[in-house]
Amino acid sequence: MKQLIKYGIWIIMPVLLFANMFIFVSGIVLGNQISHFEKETKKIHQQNVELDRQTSHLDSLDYAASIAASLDFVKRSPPIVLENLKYALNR
Amino acid sequence: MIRAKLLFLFFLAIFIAVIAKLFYLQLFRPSASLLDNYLKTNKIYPERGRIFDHNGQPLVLNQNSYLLYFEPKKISDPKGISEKLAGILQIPEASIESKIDSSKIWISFKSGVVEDQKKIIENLHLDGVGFQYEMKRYYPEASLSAHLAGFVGKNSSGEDIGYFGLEGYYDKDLKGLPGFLETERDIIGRPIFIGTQERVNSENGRDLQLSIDKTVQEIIKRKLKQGLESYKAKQGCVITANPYTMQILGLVCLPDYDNDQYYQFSEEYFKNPAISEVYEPGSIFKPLVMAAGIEEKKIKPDDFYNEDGPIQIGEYQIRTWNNKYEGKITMTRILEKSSNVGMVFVGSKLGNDSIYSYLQKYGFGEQTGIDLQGETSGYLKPKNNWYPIDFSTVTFGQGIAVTPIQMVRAFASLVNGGNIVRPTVVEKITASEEEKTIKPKIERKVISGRTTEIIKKMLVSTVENGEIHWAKPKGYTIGGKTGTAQVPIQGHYDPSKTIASFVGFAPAENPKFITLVTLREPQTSPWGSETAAPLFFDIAKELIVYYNITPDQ
Repeated sequence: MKQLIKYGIWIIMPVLLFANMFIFVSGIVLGNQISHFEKETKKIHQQNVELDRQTSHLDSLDYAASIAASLDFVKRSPPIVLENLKYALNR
Repeated sequence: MIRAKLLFLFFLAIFIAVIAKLFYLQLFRPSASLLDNYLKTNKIYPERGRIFDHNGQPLVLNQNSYLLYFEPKKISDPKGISEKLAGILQIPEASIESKIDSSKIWISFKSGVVEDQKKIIENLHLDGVGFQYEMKRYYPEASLSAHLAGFVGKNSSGEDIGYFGLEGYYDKDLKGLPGFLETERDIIGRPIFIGTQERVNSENGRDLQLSIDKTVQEIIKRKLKQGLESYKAKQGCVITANPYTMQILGLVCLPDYDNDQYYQFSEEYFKNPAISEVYEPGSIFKPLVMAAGIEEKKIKPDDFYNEDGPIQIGEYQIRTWNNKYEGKITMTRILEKSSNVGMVFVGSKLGNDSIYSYLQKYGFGEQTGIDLQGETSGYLKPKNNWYPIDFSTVTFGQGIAVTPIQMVRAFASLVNGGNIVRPTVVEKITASEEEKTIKPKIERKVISGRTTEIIKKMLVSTVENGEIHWAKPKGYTIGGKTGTAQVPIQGHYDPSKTIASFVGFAPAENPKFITLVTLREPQTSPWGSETAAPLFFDIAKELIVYYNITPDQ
């Protein structure tokens, strides 16, 4: 019986040791992953905010007005329409 | 036995070594960073709520922003860094260089650095220059709604706080609740998986959806800007609302300011004149008194008044604006020609008590309760301080101080069935899991539906048969009234300085909008009929097209 306990301890001790090491290393790996995903989440969030900003800028009246001005789409440059060819041909 | 003792001594030595190391770390080298790193509590800042217009188009959003900081100990060439940053940040080199104090470890330099600037600076790979993430407001439509939106500044503790307009009024809703993250971390800052991990998430600010329509806002701002230039006025306001719900569709006052660069403007620009400044309304007040007279059955639209000359009240003489008198005229004609003496007659029929009572019912002297920060209540003198002349002049809008928003609310009651409705700018507040709709609130009923039908017809007739024929949108019936109020300066009226105004609604039968235009001290003409009224019709034409209103004539 005494021998059995002695062998049992010799078996259990290394198992516990390796289990402990495994948990320790796993903890470090998971800690790294948490850290990594924290950074990634923050980065994606920031990208989202930036894309939201860019989209709303492109959708804004302010941007439309600036584009219209840069294309000279003002009263001095009326649209040319097919119904009024005289206009198109500058007669 | 000896082996067991050796094993015991081996473990004891390791144990003592660990304790010695901990003793050394905690007592001889208690580095703040190490202690902070062990149990780290980070405040999680909530994202400020966004503001959208009626159609869900963004008016105020958040954008990434960074605090640029220096670590002078790592900077070897302050001059070189200053030269490189000066062009990107638009800050003089000398100012940057003077900030880099080599005796300090960390210096906060510039807040509000945007993404593009950050990328350029990062590509320069400058030692000792870093960024800390923060957020700031972004206005896709620039200052289209400056007075409405307000801005976000800092309080004395350096925290974000909303000032003026919606940012000020809804600050608690917009800013949200901060959370925190408490984690045990190892020496290089990684979370210890089996250690404490406590997280209380922040609650982001609530989003606001406004009754403001971006397109309406753009129309009235553009037209008001043109109007100020054409009539050389000092200041102007346009308020457009739904007369039944008093939901504000557009509100613009010029000059305004740039929300993004608010710190470059003086404080006087931040006040929204539409709610924070009082003025004497002048003749646009007349329909309110006329409606009160009709409601009390003291007068009828077809009753006659003999306009035969000025009226003497004590030592004061009241005349018409052009000192011309038409003899027998109807009540409708009194409004059409904006007769001051005619209104004094209406006031005398109504009686002083009734006049005062109606001023209170229309809501003058009290805040309208609009959901914008900075509203003033105007001024209505206590009744026992009124002189007889005051009861006469108030019938044509002199001797009373009102805000433009009070005026719109009171005038809306003439066309919406007689209700005084609380004006609102926000129609919906949205949080992550809940949505609150702000419903129109009728404060009280001032006049009956019958009276509003009569006064609407009189106001349509005022536009049709007024002293001046404006370029009205063809095929539409529009009601309204002009006003020209002199500006009181040191107890006297200065005839050269006026506030010209026009309040109108369209289409008359079932109004889609009510619009008030006020212009302060127009130089081309002092009269509302020659300045504010044409501007109103210009705006009305575009609104009719935008709302796709069918002609009713």
